[in-house]
Amino acid sequence: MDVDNKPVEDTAETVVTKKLGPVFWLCAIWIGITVVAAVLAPWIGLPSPTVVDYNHFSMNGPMSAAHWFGTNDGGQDIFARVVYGARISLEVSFGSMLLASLIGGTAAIFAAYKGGILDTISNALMTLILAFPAALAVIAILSFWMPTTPFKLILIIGISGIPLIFRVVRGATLAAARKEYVLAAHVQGAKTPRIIFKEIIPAVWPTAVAFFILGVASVIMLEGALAFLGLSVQTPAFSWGTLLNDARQKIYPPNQNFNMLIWPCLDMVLFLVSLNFIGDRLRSYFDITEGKL
Amino acid sequence: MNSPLLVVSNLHTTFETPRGLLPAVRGVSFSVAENQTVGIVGESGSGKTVLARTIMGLQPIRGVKLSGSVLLNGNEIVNRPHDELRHLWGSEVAMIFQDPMTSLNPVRRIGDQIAESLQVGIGLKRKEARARALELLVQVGIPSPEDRFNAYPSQLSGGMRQRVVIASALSCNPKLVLADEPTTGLDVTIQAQILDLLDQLKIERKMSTILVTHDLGVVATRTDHIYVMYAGRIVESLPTADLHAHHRHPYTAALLNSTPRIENKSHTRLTAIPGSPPNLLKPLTGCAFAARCSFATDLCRNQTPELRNDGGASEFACFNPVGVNA
Repeated sequence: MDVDNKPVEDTAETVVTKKLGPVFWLCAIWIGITVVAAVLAPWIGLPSPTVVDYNHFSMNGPMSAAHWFGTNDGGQDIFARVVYGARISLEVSFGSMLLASLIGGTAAIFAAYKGGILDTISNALMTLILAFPAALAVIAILSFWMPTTPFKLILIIGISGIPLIFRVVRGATLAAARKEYVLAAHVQGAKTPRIIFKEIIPAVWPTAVAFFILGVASVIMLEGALAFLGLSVQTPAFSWGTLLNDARQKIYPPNQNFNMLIWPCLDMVLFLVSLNFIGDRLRSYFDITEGKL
Repeated sequence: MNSPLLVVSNLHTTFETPRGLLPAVRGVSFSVAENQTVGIVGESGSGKTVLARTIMGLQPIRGVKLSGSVLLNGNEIVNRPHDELRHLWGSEVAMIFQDPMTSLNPVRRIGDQIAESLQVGIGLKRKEARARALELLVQVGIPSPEDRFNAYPSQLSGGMRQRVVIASALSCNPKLVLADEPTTGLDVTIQAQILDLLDQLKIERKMSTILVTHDLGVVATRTDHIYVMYAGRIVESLPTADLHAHHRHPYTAALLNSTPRIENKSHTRLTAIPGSPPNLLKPLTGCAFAARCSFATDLCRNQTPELRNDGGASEFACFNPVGVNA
């Protein structure tokens, strides 16, 4: 119990600032660099990632000042391909999670706050969809809807992510709606939209953001898995996943080009680790805050 | 005295639970006059919080059966949808909740929370609302209110938070304030401060107050009239001045007996009321308190006593009332 025995002057000044830690910021910086580089890729003086150069000396070149990560079996700069490859991976992962969050999150907040039959039905429906493995559904749909484009990936992965987001946000909304301050706002005459925007969403927000970040990481991995099956974007378009799938076949003679495998792999792994770390860190950070309040 | 501000008559609140009907409020009638402070006392589970929320019109439509009437300044509250009650909330009746830790939004600044109730309640512009909110913080005795205006609830102590809750509840000048255990979460010295504050505001603003509490000590000095609730009914109704000398119901007597007294020797065991309140899921015959009452007779176990008056100041629902000065 909060005992009021301290001089009043003390309480307002003792602002508790919790630290996210240096690793968090390192991860955030890495994500920032990767995203900015991917967005600005055409304007930062990279060699073309797509022009094929079958000059004997250009193929499978070693790491050098001109080609930081070497060149691939088509004489293309691997560094440029890694940076450009992030574009589709990020586009698809952020796009599909945004789609899922907008639809799933909005539906969840309204259903959970309004309650009643609408909530019961939508929750049952989402549970039903969840019972079917999403990755399998994505694979099945994509294999009947070739050729794959980023838009199709966003649409299909996004829709398949709706039930998960729905469940998470619904839980957070139910917890928030039970709070006495929501009732207090209600009896002061606040109407439903105001309560949702001013009371519910600020409480649900941290959970949703943490889940969003973890979701982006798992979509990047899912895209990688799809590429491995040849179901991701088709040449000449390429993503991290397709880079890895190409490289997988080139580590044997006559090419034996390990640069093609190692660098995209390293970049993708570092990015995923950073995302997961940040997502987890945010989740625990906000959970503790909630427990303390 | 003017016509009463609040008239509650024969109010029943029954919850439909999976285990059957639970009558939490079973036929309560009382009234609150303008500028009057009324105390509703009862132990946990006596229905006092349910009563308070029913008076606010806060009971959900589903799963609850309501009957009887609550007239607030001529407006019927019972069985009205929330949309129709919204214009009464804030300006006619406001509620102060029990726990200041949970009745403020932890992620919003306190000034904004108070200002918002002004914007919503009486349609002030944002700037006016903020100025008015600052005045309210001054009125409820928050030191250096300009700094506190932008503080988050977690940066304030429990007592300060309850002051903020009060400021927010009183922002639209309600005529009636329902305080549901307003000091239960606070320690004793702060309890006194908060109750003094409520008293002072009540006089300044000419409000009526309903103080709902389990603590006879809280109501004994700060109310005009006391209603003692037991198992969803009012068992005794008497002016506060007569509480100690002229109470008639054995339950009131037992409650008074179980309050610690300053003249008791230290380490005196506190007298407790034996047994526990009846399970309202089961049908009750006779007086609900009979099983725990040392005066109970067969009549008490078979017939429900109604509130009656035998010439004294108290109205009581008992066949065997305790004598004067019991």
